[in-house]
Amino acid sequence: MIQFVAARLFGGLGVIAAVATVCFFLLRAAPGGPFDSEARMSPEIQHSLEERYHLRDPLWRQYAAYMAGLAHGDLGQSIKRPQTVNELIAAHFPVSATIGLCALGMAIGLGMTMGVEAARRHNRWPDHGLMALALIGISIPSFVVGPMLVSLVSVRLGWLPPVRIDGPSGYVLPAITLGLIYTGVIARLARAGLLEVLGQDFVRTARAKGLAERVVVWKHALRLGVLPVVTYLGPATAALISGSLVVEKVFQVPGLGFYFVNSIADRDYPVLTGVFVFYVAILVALNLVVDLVHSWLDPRIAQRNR
Amino acid sequence: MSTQSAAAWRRLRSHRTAVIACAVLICVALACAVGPWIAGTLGLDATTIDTGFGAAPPSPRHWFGTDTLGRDLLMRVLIGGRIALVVAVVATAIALVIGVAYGATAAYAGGWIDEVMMRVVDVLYGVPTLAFLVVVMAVMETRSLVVLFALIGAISWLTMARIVRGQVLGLRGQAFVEAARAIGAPSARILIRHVLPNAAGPVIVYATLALPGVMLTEAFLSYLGLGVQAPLASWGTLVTEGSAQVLVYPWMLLCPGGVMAVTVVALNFLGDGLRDALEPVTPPD
Amino acid sequence: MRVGWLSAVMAAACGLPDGEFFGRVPEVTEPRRLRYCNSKEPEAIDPALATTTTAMKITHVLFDGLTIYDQHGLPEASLATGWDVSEDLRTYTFHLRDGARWSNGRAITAWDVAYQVIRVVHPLTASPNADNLGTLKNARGYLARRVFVLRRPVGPYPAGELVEQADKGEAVRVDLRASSGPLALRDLGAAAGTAYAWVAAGREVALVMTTGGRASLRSPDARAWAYVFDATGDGVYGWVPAVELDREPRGDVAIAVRRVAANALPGDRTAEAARPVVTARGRDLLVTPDVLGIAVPDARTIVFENAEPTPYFVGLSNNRALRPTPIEAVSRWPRRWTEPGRIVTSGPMTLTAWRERDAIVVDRSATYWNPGDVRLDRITFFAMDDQAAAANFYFTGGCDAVAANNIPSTYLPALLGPGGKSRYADFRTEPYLGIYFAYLNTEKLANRHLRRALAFAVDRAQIPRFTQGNEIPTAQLTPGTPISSLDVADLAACGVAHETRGVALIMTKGALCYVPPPGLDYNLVAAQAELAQARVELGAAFPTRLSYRYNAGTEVHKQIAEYLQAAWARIGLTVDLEAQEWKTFVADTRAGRYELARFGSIGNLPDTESEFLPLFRCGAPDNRSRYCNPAFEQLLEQARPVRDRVARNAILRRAEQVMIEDAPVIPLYVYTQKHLQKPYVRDLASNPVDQPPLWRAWLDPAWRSHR
Repeated sequence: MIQFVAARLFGGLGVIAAVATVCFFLLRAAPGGPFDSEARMSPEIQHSLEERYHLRDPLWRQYAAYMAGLAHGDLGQSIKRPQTVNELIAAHFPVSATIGLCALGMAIGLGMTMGVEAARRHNRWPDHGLMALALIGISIPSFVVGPMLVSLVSVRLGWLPPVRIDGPSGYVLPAITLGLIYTGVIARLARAGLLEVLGQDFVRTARAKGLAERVVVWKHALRLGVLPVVTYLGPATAALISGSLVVEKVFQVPGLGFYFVNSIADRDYPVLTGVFVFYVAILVALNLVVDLVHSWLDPRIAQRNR
Repeated sequence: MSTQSAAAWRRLRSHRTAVIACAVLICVALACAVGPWIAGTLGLDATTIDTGFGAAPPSPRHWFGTDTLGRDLLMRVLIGGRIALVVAVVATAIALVIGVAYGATAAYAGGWIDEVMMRVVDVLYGVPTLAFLVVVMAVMETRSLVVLFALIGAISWLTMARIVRGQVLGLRGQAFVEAARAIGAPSARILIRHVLPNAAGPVIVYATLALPGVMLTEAFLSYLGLGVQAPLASWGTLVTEGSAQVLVYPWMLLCPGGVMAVTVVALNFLGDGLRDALEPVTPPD
Repeated sequence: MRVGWLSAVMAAACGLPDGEFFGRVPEVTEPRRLRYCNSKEPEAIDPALATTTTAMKITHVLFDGLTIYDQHGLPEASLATGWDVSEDLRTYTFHLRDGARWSNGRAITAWDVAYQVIRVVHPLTASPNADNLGTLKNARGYLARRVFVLRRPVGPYPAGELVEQADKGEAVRVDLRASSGPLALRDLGAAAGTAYAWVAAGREVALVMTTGGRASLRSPDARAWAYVFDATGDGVYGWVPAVELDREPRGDVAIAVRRVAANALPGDRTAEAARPVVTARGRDLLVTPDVLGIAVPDARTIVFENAEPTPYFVGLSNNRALRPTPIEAVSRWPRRWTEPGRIVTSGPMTLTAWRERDAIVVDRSATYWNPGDVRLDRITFFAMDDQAAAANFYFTGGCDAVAANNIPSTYLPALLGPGGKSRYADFRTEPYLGIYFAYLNTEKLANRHLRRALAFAVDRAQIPRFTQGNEIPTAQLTPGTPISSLDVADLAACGVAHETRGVALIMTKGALCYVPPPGLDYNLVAAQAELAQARVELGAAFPTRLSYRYNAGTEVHKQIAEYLQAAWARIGLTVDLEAQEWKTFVADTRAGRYELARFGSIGNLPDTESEFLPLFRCGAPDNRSRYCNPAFEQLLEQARPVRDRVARNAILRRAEQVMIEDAPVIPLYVYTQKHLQKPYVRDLASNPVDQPPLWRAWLDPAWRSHR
């Protein structure tokens, strides 16, 4: 088990290093630099700014300096803002993470319930109905759902705030907007996983032993049936907590996703690379957690990994 | 047609939602393809600017209403649909081609080549493709449609590769393949003429299931301003425009958004139906 | 119950709700707190670095200036009690008041103002606002590190002479110094033990200024002090005793120099003969702010010297480039001194909290010199990146006012009823000091008649239907307020009748006004005549097709382009439209690689001589139309020494007339500002430069009864 975790961590570091490298060179290959759009800046000033950020150093030296910093967990200094990248992430990640976790909670709670009920009433009306709902949830993008919810619930009816988070009620609409798609996916995965399991021998045995249907489903079948959902949760959680551009724009929350697109236009290399690396690191960590949970849920997998 | 296919076809036809979804899709596609042309002969189009006064809600003259410049929204949605559908189909086709080629090669080559190729796929699965796509599109700054197709296709082939590989692995050991090898047919030929057609089933299913994802990816890119550029419009750009005006002119979001949602839902239902038809799930007793 | 729910849903489906006001008007529970929906997150609130109106709104409540923007956007005395202007309009002497303090209790002196000026034009600050001080003597040379003071005689020049680098090469860093021992950077006159930064022996620092200069602080003890910059990390400034800087790394470098030209006009060759080039060494030259046109005779007086007669300098005095900043904070944290806890302010408000991309909170300052003027205890600036979100927030009563032009343009037709009259009592449009026009490249379209034909053919009255914001169509270059909306005092100052068409620029309320010449307005007959003339003159060289460029991104530019295309097609000219990405567009138009192109210009202050006419001067970098007319230049030169503003305006008007008759530009409309403001907000002015004194606003809980 320890070897398994160690191997995965090592591989994860490799992925992070690879992503950082690709980002680094890809961004610098793009035309234009961070100070090109300043029409009023004299060449003198541009020169001295570029020197301050070591942009005039040879590329390999910039790369080496960046990777050395990365090894210490230092993601560098933003070019366009006075803060360091670490400070930016520390300031904005909690916002994205909280909204993401709310959305995750909704997705898991609602999605699992829908999936389980659908599986239990397989091929009857509730099954079709719930799966249709799930499918519709997956099909409507968040930038349609968000503005509609705001228009209807916040502006017309005045039940919830339209923008900003000034208290718990501010989390509701962003969480729904963000989590709707994940709810649908989890519902379908849960149903599929559970159906597969419900057809297996050990379930028939459990039923034959006279256990209540509820116990059979929730205690025995679900343990294995939830595996596809667990696998999905790794990347899903990573995506949810790293910030959604749509939610941040529609609800004006100062999350982390903003830096993805905006630092590209700004050519703020350290910020973009740093945010990307951070996201990949979360992804790697969550995938590892998912695999561990997998082994715990399904002892057969653990044996294979030993 | 083999008995397997015949059975699948029968199952599909009996799957009501899939049939309805298929019908809906055909209607939408026809409307987008032919609608504007028909309307043109009747004197309606998507570009006449009537600055009379702002956007008008749906009315008998304008079934979907108009936008702030007085352009008929229904026409814009239909023309936008052309782009959206074309982008979706072409990008999926590109993903298909890449995925099939990759997966089949990996499976047929076997051994360490297969291992390496599949490891690469595993690693790529871990990369946040959407974020990566955003970065590449924004950095590249060219906004041609071709680049858009290619890039969206380039992030969507991973599952396809896995499916195809699985299918080819399964078929590799079958009798007819052995027979073809025995008579000395070259590998590529065996692959293309014998193996792939039999793997077509799941490939079609996953292609259909990939379409909605591609369509939503294109819409998301348009939301960020990185997708289809003016003067072309797609559903993504129409929805983006509409989402900024939903307080004032709700039909500008609801109409294109509704049409896009219906299409995506229909594609999903159809894909589901295809998958159920080809791989029926045994119900528990 | 059920019916109510249903009708709510129906209402939700059908457009904006009716009502007197746009959205909910909540009860005023905190009448001394203003919640303001600002635009994007400010790039900086440091007066040297803020460039957008969004950032400036915050900068201007935190930092006081010699003058500030009043309700009309015009200068109002604040830190300065008054000013004297020299006969030749070059020298301005401002007298500062007693009792003005920084938020840390220290008195604000003339040296603080001088410090800001030096800071803004110093290359290490990299201030984008340095251009605003471009009229000061040697400001541009200092910024480029090309102006020095001779420390000892070289050639025919005595010590103390102002010289400039004569060759065109890169500026040499003669301002670098080093010390044989470690340097302790500290406040002026402080003991070495209080140092907040250390520089290792031998490490190069940049010398900015020393005590005892014309505009530098006086030394508190007998010795001279030097203000230096160490570039390690984020950089840090500090004072050290001047004797400690005993090394000059660039002391031996040879530089060709010559005396600085005293107010020579560009292209004046006679001045060069009297200024021979000599070779000096680095150690002969001193980079010092003494070369600049500023002097501080005492703590309450500051003198500005402009290179040329500058009648509008008082109009510049409320600019952020002249607002003092606290040297003790800037020195320690050059990039991050504006954070709460570090910042020291001089204005009506101080910075309490700054949550990035969320909100900036400012509270009443205890040390402001004019507390009776401040009616608010707190202003909260919400950062609203997305216009629709800002509108939603305002609608639900979350903020009391929305920053001008932060309203989505697609809402405008709904906010403005038919006829351009506002549908809601809390929405209004006001003119903005900016003009939208089309440039005609006079190099590519050299024939005057052709250009005039293009100008006469445009019926700009229809354009507000695309822009949908009550924009003011105009054929005059200088923007202003429609004459029909001026009050009696302003009409008298402008010397026009109420019925006169066009706009007028109010330079001082009720006193000074500039009425631009009418320009080439829509006249199809004249267009045809000019076109016929052009055909005759050009013959075979008459262009078959022309191209009009605009920047992609906003639908409006495209619609206007199509409209102009149709207008020109009516007189028989084929014009192709071309959309370009913004950065390329800016570069191409600047380089003259276009025939016709849209553009716009926003003024910083209501003075056409400094803001709009310079766009057409020969050789000006922003002269995109490549216009060069000696008659125009001569009239501008003629106006330069004229002290009487009214007479000066008359000459400027003739100059503008000459220019507009040549049609290097087709003005289309004056921009407008769109304002949303709750009915209980009072005295929140809107002025043409969009810089209202926010602290003078207040909220009236009993607004209903006061209507």
